[in-house]
Amino acid sequence: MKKSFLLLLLTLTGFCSIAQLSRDNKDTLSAVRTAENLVSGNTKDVLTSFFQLAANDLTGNNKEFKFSSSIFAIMLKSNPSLNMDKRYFTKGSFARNTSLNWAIKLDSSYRFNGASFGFKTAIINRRDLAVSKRFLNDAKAVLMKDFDMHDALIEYIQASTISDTDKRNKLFAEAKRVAADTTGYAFNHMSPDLKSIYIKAYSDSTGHKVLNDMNLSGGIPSQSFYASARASFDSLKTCYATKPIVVLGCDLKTYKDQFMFSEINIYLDGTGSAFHSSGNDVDFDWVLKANLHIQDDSTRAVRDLTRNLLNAEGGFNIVFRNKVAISTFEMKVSAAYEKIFTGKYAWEHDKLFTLNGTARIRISKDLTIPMTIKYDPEHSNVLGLLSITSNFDGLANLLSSKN
Amino acid sequence: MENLKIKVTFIGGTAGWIRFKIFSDTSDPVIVTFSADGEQTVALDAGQHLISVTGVNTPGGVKVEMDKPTSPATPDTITMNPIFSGYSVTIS
Repeated sequence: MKKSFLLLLLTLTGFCSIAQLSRDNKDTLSAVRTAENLVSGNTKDVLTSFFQLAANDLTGNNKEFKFSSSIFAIMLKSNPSLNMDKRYFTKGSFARNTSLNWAIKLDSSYRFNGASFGFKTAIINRRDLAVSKRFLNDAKAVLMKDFDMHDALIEYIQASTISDTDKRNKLFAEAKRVAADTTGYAFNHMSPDLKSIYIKAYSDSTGHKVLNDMNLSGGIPSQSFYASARASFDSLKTCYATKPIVVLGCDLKTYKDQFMFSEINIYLDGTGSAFHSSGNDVDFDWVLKANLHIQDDSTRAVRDLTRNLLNAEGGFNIVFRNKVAISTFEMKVSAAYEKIFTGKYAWEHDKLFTLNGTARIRISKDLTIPMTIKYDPEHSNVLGLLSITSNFDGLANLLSSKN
Repeated sequence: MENLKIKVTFIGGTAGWIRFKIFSDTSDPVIVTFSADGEQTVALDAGQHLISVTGVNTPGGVKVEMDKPTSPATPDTITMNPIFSGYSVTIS
């Protein structure tokens, strides 16, 4: 029975791997990825990325298969059209904000060596742009100047070609092409007639209130409406990637030699931006975490879940970003409290308050190295920890690019 | 003068907004906006009208339909985000 279960999970892993690497639905899925665009290492820890799959150390002694995905992403695998269905964006909020994960470990003889299962759901998620009216209003405010300028240009074409329909149609078609140009070629090679209209539209000071309100000094911009507006739009999206998100989750772990749960972890995890620089290069995020651990007491011969403890942590995380808004260095300062209700080991304190500092350095696009230092003011202890986290999207992308 | 009916359907997501500004040789521009699926009717003079279309799109794009022949022809799904597009319509 256990072997059948493992075989089923491994088969599912292979199936999902192939599905993940398929490019067929790349455009369809991109919208969901955007909704969970977790750009900093700190936020990456809060809610897993859209669809992760990993196989670690397959030739070694500790083989491990991992899988994590949102429920909505799994639904999309069987029905990609769901991403186009408005009902699922309104009624499918739970599926889009809930992720599942599991991991199976095998030893060198391919025998069961432990498993874990997890579930998490976002109870607050201000990053879902596809349904955010606030984002819509902010986007309109940011882009309205470009929208009004586009309207003014079309109005000029209409007004300047009243007796010449052919010229109007030609100019209109070209104006649309130039406005939507993403390469700059059409904009830089526009016809003299359209360029003349652009210059008039941007330098007008009498007939169009819109242009006056824009207070332009004359001349035309160096890129198309779309390229200009798209940059503003992307910048706004980056801001929303740091909006508050709070997740509630539960993780289960088994013993290595027995398919029996040895640990249950119920947690609340949240983060959001307290300050965001206008240049998108520095973020100041708040961080909140609380964990209730129900574990096996390893000092007792019997296997049960009698060790119970609570961890809580609150603090701030400063994120420094590069020019493309990727976090390069992060520094987190926090205060943590730990309380052991039952099953305290002899060398432990039943409650502990620490001040923590964590630095994260980005080594590559998908790899960050966090280093944590804890200070216990009551017992004057300093403890340094080093661990590595990685987003396995990078692995999938790497494999995909080689196909 | 004839009526032009504009129908808009946002595909995927719920936070979309689109504005049609319809210009005329003889009268002031007419503005029609949508922030949800729906249709609106505007009365236009005879002649050719250029329509500036701008907005913020939903993930699957926005389907635009008009009940008069347009250039480019409708139905047409605009997928660019933000939206900078346009139509020409002639009222006889």
